[in-house]
Amino acid sequence: MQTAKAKIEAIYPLQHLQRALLFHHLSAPNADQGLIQTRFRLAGPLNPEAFAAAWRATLDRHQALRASVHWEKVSKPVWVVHPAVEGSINHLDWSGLPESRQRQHMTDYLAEDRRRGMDLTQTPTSRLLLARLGPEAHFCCWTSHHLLLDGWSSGVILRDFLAHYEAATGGTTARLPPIPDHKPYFRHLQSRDEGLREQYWRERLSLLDKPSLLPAAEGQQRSLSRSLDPDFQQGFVAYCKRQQVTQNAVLQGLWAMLLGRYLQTGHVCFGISVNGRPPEVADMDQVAGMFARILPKVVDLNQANFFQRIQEESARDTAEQYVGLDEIAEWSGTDGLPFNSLLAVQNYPWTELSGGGLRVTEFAGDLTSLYPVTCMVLPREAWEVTIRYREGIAEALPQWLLEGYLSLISWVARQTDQSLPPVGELPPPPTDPTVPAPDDVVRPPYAAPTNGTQLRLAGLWEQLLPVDTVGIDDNFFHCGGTSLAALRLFARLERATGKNISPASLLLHPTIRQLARFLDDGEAASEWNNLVPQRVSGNLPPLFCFHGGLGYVLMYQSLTHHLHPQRPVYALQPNGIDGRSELDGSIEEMAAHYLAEIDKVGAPDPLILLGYCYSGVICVAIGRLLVEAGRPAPIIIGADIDPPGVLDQKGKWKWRQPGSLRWYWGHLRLGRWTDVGEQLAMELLTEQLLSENLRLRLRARRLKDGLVAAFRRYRAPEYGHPICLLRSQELRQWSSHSFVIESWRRISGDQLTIQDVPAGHAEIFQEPAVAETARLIEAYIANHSGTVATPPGLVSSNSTP
Amino acid sequence: MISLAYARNEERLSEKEYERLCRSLPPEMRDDLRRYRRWQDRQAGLLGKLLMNYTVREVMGEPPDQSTLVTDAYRRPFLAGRPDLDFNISHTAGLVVCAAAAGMGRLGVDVERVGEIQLAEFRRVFTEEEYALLSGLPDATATFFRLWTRKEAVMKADGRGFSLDPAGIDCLPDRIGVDGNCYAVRELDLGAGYAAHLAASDVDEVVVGEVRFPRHPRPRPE
Repeated sequence: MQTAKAKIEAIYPLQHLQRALLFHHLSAPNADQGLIQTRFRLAGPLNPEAFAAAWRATLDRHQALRASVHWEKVSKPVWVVHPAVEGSINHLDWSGLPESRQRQHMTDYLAEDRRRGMDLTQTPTSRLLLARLGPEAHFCCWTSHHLLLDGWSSGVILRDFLAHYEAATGGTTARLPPIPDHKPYFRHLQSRDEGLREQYWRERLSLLDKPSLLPAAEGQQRSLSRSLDPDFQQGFVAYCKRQQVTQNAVLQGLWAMLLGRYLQTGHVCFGISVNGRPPEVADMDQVAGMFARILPKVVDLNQANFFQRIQEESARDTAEQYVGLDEIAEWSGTDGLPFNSLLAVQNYPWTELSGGGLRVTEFAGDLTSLYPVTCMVLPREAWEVTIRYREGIAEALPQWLLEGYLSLISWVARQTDQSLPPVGELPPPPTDPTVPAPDDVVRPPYAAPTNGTQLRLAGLWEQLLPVDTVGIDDNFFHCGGTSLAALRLFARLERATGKNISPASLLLHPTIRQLARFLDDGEAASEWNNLVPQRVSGNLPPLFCFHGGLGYVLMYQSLTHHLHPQRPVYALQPNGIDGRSELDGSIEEMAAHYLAEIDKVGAPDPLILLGYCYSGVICVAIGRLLVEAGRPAPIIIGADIDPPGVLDQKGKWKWRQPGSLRWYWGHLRLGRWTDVGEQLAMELLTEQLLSENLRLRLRARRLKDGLVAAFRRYRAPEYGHPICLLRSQELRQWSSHSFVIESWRRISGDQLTIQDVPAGHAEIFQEPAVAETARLIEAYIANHSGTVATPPGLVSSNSTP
Repeated sequence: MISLAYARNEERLSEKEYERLCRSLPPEMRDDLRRYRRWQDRQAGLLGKLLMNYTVREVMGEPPDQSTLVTDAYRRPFLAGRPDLDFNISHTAGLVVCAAAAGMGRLGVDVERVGEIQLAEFRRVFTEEEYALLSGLPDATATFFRLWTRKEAVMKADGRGFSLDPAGIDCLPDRIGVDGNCYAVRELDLGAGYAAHLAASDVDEVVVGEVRFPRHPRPRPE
């Protein structure tokens, strides 16, 4: 006989963050950012009956697992606890399949599960997948919603579940210590002094002279992640100990420094996620639910005892943590939240989860963030730092943040004292055209021109419109275009191409991409693969910059800013960098390929070419092609350019074809396990099977190996025309120095000019040295092109070795 | 009667003021404004809509329902369900203008800030006679802008805008004909440095007013 149970056990109001999540849940049901998929594997023999019983017991234990959410026909949205809930376990068997298929199934399941979303009004508001991979291996995906459960809860639930499972396999029931329900938590919230809280936060926020806003943008979440070199972890821990603060405090302090550098300000604010369980209420940390909160972290970058102060302030922040972000926005006096980035350090205290012969491995969860930029740190075995960002944000920014943050972390890890990192020495933050103005302009992501028509239009738009840069997806009229500007545009276009087109076509094709397609009569104009325009407008002859040995051309961005403002700049990157096209096999092929691309721009002779370490030989090969075709020799400038044969000069290191037996032998002997592992993965696996991170790393390695191989094969014939070598301070120290000078002198037919750059090899194109590099380049061009007027203030200074 | 109103757009409204004024617009329209990269253009878009409210109210006695605003095949905006009513907005650097009228067909208005031009770039938009007149002047700038705003106002009143060939419309006579329709044109004095024209079937009765935003400026603390 069963007595009639109450239909509802409890009703609780939704808190601020939950309401925000509810809004997102309702506005994007199929891309619900609050949906959390906790994935893990279970190793060991599994008893299905005990598993189901343990899951039932876990649901019984935690109110949040028996909850549904209601917002219709109620005055305020609430979550309702039901006395009993049927848990649903989805059993699948993938055990007969090869591992690659199993992985594919997992990926498919996760995607489908996410598309399915979650009906929060119906219990159960979580679901569990148990997929059998083998006799003693299972894959689990537990799907829940952040509105009801925070990250901490997944650890609590898994641990309780395993305790129940252990008991169930032994035929008993687990005796877990009782846990409080949510009532004392809400009582605690109400007992806080609101006046004090307001006063505290107003005081903290008043330190800010402006809100700490990174560029905001719309769009899907993307992410960049990198692992920290394991060697640094020990050093980092030691640094924290010397400072007598937690790792959290140092991670927060370093993030604050990075933001300060970006925002050029002495006080910064960012969001941090906190556990939210009041220490005053006993055993709250044993309760699953949504207690996590976002708190503003205000940091004075110039305070003494920097990290200690951060830690002390965190203690005060925690004491006053029951504050809604709506209140923060109001008290900050800035018409909105004073921050829009989030730092989430995920340190859960559970290292080992096991029970009843089952062990949890490969535990992975999701982090829900509604902010445009989120930095996640996972300080576990291999530290992983991830920057999540909306796709509307130019990649240069998250990249800068990631690299900057990692370099600050590794810097402190290398110290043996308590000194603070020299933040001023970080590379300057990107001032990318794609980053919208701070006043929340909605702009399509920046896309550079990809063919001649688009390039011509971009140049005309930049002349005619009152904005600095235009991408090919920018709308003419959104950039300040008027009817008169449209008339001028088509007049100039007609002068350049002879085509007479009605200005009305701009109404139907308001972007460069659309208009270019229209102008090209819908025929696909040949797209560039290699040319990356850095600056398309200007009346001086353009400068073409070539990739280094890693294939990247990013370093030419700051150079562009320092060159003459009227000088267009194009960078050339190799085939293969996108992972689609094949890398050219030889320097000669690259040269021919690049020259064809360069000629699409229509630059006047002599061409101006700039190489960096690797690409000196490409410039010379292009020079030979030009001379053979009866065109004037180009102006060649090379920064620390490597002549052919230099690899044999560089120390004892012997080059081997990657993947050859001798390569494996050499790398194994040197203990380069990662390289060997990656090489094996590269040869044995197809790209689809690799993780995103590994895929990109392997792609970069394959590219680099290909470039090095082409370089080694190249035998430079005599060239016999002038070359300018920009020499770094480091180059002069290298053992190969005289070989480099002699080689270029011979190749140039004794027409080598050497200019010294007061910087190390890696810093030639970085601030602050890049200003001098740019000056030397402009001066050399002015001296050697004859027709171009010398910009004022530029004097060339020659020196000899 | 044509109601015509203009507003200066030289100074940036405070963020609060901008937000407050935006509240009278439907949400899609507010989102559209956020696509403008420069505040000048965004604010011009907002002021244009507010001036439209103002002039339509002058004509009809009540403001229009902005959410019924749609564009026709020539991308010309009009109010769905109000075929008797027409309005037209134009803006240039520092100034926004809107005209509205009921029961008299379409009208067009154009304003341009007078600035440097290269006449040759506009060869294609003028008739032979117009171009001869302009190129014979020692300084064609002022005349260029007067002639051009006449032309654009007529093209906008016609409704086909830039889908018409501007060189096919002779704007030298008093009344300007386009495909059998005849437009009267009236020059507007909107301050030094601006050229502006209004075109409609009849431009005898025009009430011109300047509207200032914010409408009721709050006193600033010293």
